[in-house]
Amino acid sequence: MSTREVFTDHLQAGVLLLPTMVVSLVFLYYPTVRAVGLSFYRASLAQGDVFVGLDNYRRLATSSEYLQSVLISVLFATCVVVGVMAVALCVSFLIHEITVGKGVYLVAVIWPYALPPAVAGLVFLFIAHPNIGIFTSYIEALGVDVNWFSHGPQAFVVVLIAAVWKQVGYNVIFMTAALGNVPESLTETAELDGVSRTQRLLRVYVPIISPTLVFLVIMNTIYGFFGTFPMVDLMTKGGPAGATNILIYDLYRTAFQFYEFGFASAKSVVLFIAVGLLMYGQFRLSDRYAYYGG
Amino acid sequence: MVHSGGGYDHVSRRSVLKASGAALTVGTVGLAGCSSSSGASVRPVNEDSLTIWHAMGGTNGETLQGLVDQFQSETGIEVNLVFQDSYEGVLTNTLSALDSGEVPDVFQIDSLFAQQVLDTDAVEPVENLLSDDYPVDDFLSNVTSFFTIDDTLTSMPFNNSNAILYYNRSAFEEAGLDPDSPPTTLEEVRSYSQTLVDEGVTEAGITWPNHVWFIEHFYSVDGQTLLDAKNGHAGQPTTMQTDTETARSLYKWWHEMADNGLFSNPGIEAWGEATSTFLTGKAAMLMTSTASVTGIRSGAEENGFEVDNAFYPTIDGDRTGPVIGGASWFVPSGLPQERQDEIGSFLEFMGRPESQITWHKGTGYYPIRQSAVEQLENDGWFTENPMYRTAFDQLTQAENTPATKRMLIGPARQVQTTIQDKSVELFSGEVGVDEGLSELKSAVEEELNRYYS
Repeated sequence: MSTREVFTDHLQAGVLLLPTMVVSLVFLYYPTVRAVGLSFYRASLAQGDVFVGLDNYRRLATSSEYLQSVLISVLFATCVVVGVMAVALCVSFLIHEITVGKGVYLVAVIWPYALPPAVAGLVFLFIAHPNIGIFTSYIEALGVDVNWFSHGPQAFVVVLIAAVWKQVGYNVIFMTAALGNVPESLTETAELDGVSRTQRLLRVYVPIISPTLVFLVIMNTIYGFFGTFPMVDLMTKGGPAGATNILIYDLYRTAFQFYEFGFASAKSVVLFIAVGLLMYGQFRLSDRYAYYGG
Repeated sequence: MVHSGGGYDHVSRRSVLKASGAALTVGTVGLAGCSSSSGASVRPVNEDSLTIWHAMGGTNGETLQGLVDQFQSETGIEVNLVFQDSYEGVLTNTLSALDSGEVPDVFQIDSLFAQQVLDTDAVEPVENLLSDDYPVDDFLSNVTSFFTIDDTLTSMPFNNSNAILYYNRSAFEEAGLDPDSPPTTLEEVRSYSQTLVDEGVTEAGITWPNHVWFIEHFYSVDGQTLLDAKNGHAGQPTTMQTDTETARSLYKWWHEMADNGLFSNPGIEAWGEATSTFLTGKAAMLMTSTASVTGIRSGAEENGFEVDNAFYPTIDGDRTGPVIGGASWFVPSGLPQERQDEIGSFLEFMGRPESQITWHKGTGYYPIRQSAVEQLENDGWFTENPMYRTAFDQLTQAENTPATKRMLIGPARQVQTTIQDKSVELFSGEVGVDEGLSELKSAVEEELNRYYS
């Protein structure tokens, strides 16, 4: 890091920072503080707030429904991260290797990412709808009884596929860019040494692009926990029987359908801390394994 | 083409931190604006015109706009109709508005959420706004009974309906069933469905959206209240009545229907999907709102089959009656007298027979004034439209008992969601009937207890 001082004038620096500070304070930090405060109240609309201390947290700790939601979310986010990165790495490698039609493949892969999440959720709903889905009859012809409105594990898998499908494009953008920056000389050396294709990907490319991969693991984790909300909302509404009731959806329902804002705030605080800790762990891990050059 | 800004030498640890930190914070914001601060003085959203929040989309919305236009030209009172997308949308915005003190003059609340709005103590019983000689008696008592609390009309019923059974006459004929004697009990629905599926006419027998309204109907048709304290009309309820033959028969039947592929599950609150499952011929029977008569009739015509309707099926043959659904107009309290007079004349206009006839013909919701019904009879409307006749008979032939008054509770959305979610577990067989029902009972008790404690 350079120690050169760009701004000698603190006032000038302050003025330049002000817009960002104001936006962050008003839209991020203040609401966060308020949410923490609200989590100690029983708060509903138009009925006044009552201070209840740690009641909301106690209720969380003893709720089997919430525990189920935690487990589902962790499982879901893990599957999303692994699924997205495995698919994206394979696709990116293929695109990296191919010489003809690279652009066409890239566009095709990135396309789902360009869809707004709500549109993607609706599109996937009507692709896989048990009664009126476009692909349903073909899948049923293979002997699978498509019934994910009633069958929990099936619903989990369908939402998972939708979530992966939506996010692969984003990962491919970063991965192909990172692969493109791997020095040509390394590829040549590896080829001269007779390293196979898969080995070249796993032993040469992956370590070199590891900072990008770490970044993607973190972004995909956030996506898995927060960004998949629209798909759950549009496709399963957390059901059937809570099989897809991930924390962010559960939180939304508590706040905006049940109007239990205090309880929902407690949920959001717990979610915030949990995902924060998770990311901290990922950074610690990445410090050990990721290669940041030099 | 994308080879910039993403390579290994461009991603620093710092940029990773920055991007992820910003995304993480998003989880906690968005809730902070939601806490209450009551005690503010009440003023209308717009000083110069009446503001009305409603949830009528599509052609229903156009019909409503037509009525409002007529009201404006007759009275010179300006009205600003604001579509809020859904009943939930109106409810959320209304509760926040009552909280802030800047209120719409009239808002349309789904009967399911009535108690939640009444619990704010910030609404004026509409009876106080109607002129003394306004003929409240002319309203159908089956409808007004729900909206009358402690002998006071709290809100003005407007768009009301029941659930009813629609069936595909053509499919019935093809399966060798008599289209003139549709099923009337759960057992008959099952045997009809079995025949339809066995004959290969339709994939499933029946479908309906997984919405608590249908559970309420099964109970009320069987003369049972869903909750204690007369469904919440006689005090605060504490439990759901699941230790009953009604509940056991219903869920046992529902599970067997699903298990044998006779029930097609469109999903939770999936009104549109249920209707399209019926219209595309995947199921030969559909239970949905009487307000859908027009849409289903034209949909059936487009899909080339003959449609008819029949009373909601009973559990075992005894029929009490359906519960009323739909919404009513609520008014905030504390507005100036002059304003209240204007609101009063708006409500009177919407309730008058001519408006009710226009509304009924344009939407399919019940005409809820006795004199409107009489006029429709005289005009031969029900003879020309026998499906409306059936729907209307179901309402008027109902007994007026506590069972036919829909549940009236504060935590309606929680109880609704609990029942719907648990129903999936029950009909899909994830839990047995007895175990599932006792789980359902304690889950509902927990919600009721939390709200009323």
